[in-house]
Amino acid sequence: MSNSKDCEKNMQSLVIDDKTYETLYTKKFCNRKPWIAPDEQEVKTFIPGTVVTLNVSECSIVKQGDVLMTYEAMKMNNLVKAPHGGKVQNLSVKDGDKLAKGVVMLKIVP
Amino acid sequence: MSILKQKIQELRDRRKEAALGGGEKAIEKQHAAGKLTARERINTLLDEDSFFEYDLFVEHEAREFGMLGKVMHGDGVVVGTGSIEGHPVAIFAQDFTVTGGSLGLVHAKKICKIMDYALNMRIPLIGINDSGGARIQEGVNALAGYGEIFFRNTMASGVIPQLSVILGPCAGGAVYSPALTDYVFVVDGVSKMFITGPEVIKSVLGEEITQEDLGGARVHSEITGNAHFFAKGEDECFEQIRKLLSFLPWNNSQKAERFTPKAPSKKFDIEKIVPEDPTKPYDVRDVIRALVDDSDFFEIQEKWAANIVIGYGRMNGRTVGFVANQPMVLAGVLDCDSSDKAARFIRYCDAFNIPIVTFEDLPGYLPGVDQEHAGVIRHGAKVLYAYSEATVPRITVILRKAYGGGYIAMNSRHLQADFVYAWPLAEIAVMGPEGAANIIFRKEIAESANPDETRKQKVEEYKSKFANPYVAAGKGYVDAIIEPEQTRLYLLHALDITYDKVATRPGKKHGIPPF
Repeated sequence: MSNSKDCEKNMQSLVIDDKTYETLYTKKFCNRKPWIAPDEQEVKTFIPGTVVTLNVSECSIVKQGDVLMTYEAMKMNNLVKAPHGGKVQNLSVKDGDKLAKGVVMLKIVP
Repeated sequence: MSILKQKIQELRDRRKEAALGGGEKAIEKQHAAGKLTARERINTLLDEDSFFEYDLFVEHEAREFGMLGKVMHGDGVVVGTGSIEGHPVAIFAQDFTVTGGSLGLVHAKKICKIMDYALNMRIPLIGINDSGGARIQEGVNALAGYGEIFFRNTMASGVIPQLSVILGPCAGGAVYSPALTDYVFVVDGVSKMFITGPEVIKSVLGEEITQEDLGGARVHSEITGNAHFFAKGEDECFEQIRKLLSFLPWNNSQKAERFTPKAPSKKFDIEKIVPEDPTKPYDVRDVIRALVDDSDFFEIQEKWAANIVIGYGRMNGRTVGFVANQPMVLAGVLDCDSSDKAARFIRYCDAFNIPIVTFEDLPGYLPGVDQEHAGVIRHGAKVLYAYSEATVPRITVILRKAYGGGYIAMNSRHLQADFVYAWPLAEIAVMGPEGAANIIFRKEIAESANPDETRKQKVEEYKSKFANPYVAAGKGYVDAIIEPEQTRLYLLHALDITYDKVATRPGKKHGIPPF
């Protein structure tokens, strides 16, 4: 699989039930992302928005349900809570950051 | 001058002024943007001198934010009736020269009036969209207007053909009227459709994107599937509209007009189109062209989910809807998008009394985490639902492979197809011989002194037993095995004898398709 423009233009092979077909790919098929197993320690943005107030810093110890930050999205101030207890690591956001959906903001290592 | 003459002169002057919409400067601006005005569009699309305009002198009723006394001719929309190839149609066209074609309550009322008319008279409705969106000064009244339009779109759905032509911006709530209609036409560089525009996306996300890249004609034709027809210019777009309407009945109680039957072009040699090796690609549209009158196939959603082909052609002068797996793209698999595309088209044909001919050549469903997580179960089920529900004549020709769930989905006998034909090359089985042999003979292959040789033998064994149409024909699942050359003959006959088909379904308010 290649993401270049040639991906759509040239004949490719597609294996279905052990049979290899010669065929063109669609743009969507060329652009598909490989699946990665979710990391339970990661806290990700669930909607595009802005970090308003960050309540933790690197190495903070939190317990389940602690408010990690206030996160503004769609005109609402959402409270992002710790999904489980542990130590905050890889903190990669600060107050005022505008974030897309699915961005890893920090990890909580039990 | 007599009083009548004076009054007639006054009428003419008033008409002339109102017909200028936002005035000469605004018209110049519209032309400079490469766009025709609302009235020019209507006059180009409809038969010459066939347009009758209504509500030309309607005025808005807004008072707030400096709206009181503001003159807005026709309130930014032109509505009326006319004809296309002599058939009556109702039409509205938003006039961008009048405050950006913004939609207020009265603007919406004009559209609703012509929609009600179209539905009551059972004639097609064409909407030309070119609007900046809701007229914010009118507040909730503008939203009320959209809601009234959406309700009418839904009521008219499946009763009269509804065509949406996007010839300018169509943003925010406004996009939902086209989305509720049957066919959406877009023009390169002119059409722009999105729920939230680039400015909002930038302010929320900081992501910068142009209107074109976000919701231009190409995006909706190739990526989203929101558009059905893509044209390079407005003239080509109007040609597409006229051509599409030639295939459709004027409402759901009629059949499409019959044209003079024509033979297909001799250019397409049906025996030579499909390669014997089931893994080799070809363009299934050539099979359709080899079979339809004048080899004229009118494709819908050509660039989106191209692994399935849908569109109209005529056989013996009568409209037929075609659904065909496209081995040229993704081996012709069913996936989320191609299932959506086919299912909606099948339901359209069923609603408007158009028989469906299905050409089948597919390896099954597309494997992949992305497909499973995108809900290929739910999307794939739409195809089963749409075929099963359809009471119009349904005929299937199995050209080559018909494997697994794909075989069942593509209008099989089991979903009550009227006729299922198969070409001699057809392989109707749970899966291809390679996959099947690897499962059935796993132990023999693993324990063999020469696994590759054993696998080869077992594949051949499976092939000779199951990779043919005779097993299915032996059960009556296939009605006839036919030579490629005989296909048109068989289809013409099947369409003839199913012409007055009556099929009934259990009485219900409506089914619950896997939306």
